[in-house]
Amino acid sequence: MVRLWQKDNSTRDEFDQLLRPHVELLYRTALRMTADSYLAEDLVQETCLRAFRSFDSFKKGSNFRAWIYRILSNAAIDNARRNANVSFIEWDDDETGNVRPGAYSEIGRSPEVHVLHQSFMNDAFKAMMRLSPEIRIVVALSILEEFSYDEIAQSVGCPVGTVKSRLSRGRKQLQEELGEYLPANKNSTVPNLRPVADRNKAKD
Amino acid sequence: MKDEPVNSKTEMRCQSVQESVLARLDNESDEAVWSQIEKHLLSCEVCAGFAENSIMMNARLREELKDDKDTSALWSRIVRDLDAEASSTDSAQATVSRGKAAGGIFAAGAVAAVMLAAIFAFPFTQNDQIKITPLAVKESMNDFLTFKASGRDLDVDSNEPRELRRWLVKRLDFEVPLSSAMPAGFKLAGARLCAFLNRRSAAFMYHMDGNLASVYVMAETGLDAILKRVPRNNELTVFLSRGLTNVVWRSDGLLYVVVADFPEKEAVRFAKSIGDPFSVFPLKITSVQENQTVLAANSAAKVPKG
Repeated sequence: MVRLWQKDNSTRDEFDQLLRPHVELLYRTALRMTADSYLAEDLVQETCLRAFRSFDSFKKGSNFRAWIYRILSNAAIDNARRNANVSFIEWDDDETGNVRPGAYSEIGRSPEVHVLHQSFMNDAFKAMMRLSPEIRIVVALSILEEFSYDEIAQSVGCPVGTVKSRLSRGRKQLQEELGEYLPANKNSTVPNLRPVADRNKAKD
Repeated sequence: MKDEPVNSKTEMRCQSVQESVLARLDNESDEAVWSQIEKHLLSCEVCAGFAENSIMMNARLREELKDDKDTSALWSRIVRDLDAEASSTDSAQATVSRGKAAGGIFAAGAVAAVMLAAIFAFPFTQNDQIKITPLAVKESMNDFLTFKASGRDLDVDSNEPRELRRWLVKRLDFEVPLSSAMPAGFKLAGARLCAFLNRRSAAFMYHMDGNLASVYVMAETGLDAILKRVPRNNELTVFLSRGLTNVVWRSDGLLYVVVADFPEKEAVRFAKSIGDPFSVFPLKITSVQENQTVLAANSAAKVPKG
């Protein structure tokens, strides 16, 4: 394709290089915010356009991931508010790529496990969508993407204390809605709560 | 297990421990106090249960809500968006045209003052309910913008409908209805063969005084999810996006998307004059049946007809 845009290519190249490694992560978060693969792609495209338009405001050497997540977060919350009364269409498994996330992982599961898996996944997505968008983005970034509190605060644009309280409320709501999937506790030992980094070291 | 009496002091202690447990899960805990927390977990069934449930919930959410989708197609669309954005903000360069057909189409100019109203066969509703742009429209828009920015030649440079149809019919797995009716004020410039959404589609390019409209025609087969967002047959829907007007409708197993760089009112008139003859002169019945079989086979294999 011939690009007619010639001016300031270095800026565009720099933007592309910074952006490309984060697209998958942006998409995942967008999917968790929208529960719709098409909407998620729309959201990421919109985020990238907004980011490009305001790239002048990005300070070189600062945290690009937090910066672009701030834009995604704002766009996602705007989008969620705008579509608050829109009922979303259920996923269809078809050849267009509009496949329910996680469907690929059916392979190798017994029918019983598969049913449980599908059921939990569906309910988990529904429970996520019932969280307010402000809480949902914090839950997505913390539990699912393992951002630090500080980075979430930068990404969402709120104090760390607010991140903690939103996360706590989100967790509580998810526990209430999905608690039936957890087995009754039979333990009398201390659960393995070493930090993830330590656990990864242990694997090595 | 140590039996602690339930009182406000114990509850406060448990609340604090549970907060520490969650912080630990988030890699945000204070190592100095963690040994004390562990002791508490050994002695308190409530907190130990809370910790176990929290670990399991975290793990299950991470496992079940993951989506390792290949984002290369999404990245391509982002690049196209950025290209289009850049070219639209640089009008001097964006009006450069290199192709022989494009040179005529994209010459600078204003929208012609008047378009004659055509036969209004379709019900038309402004799309307030459907706020989600269907993927077929997005892809058509992307193609339109990319083509416009690239200045490439049309595949077939002709204003003769029969010639365009003859060229396209060998390359598509459906038969394209092509009317000789021309929207008032517009000229047919030619056609292109496009490929997106795992299928081939035809794009007819019309122009008028520097403005451009492209009519994308594609088979509906295999687009079930997308079509849920497009109203019933023969109803026009308008999507305004990225400075373009998009008019979409379905007819006789085909999906039509008009992408136009002129205002909504003119775009709707254009679509109506294009769409009505298409629906009046539908596909040949024998060809439809034959081609539908071919389409079904192709869509299952996800391989467009070569």
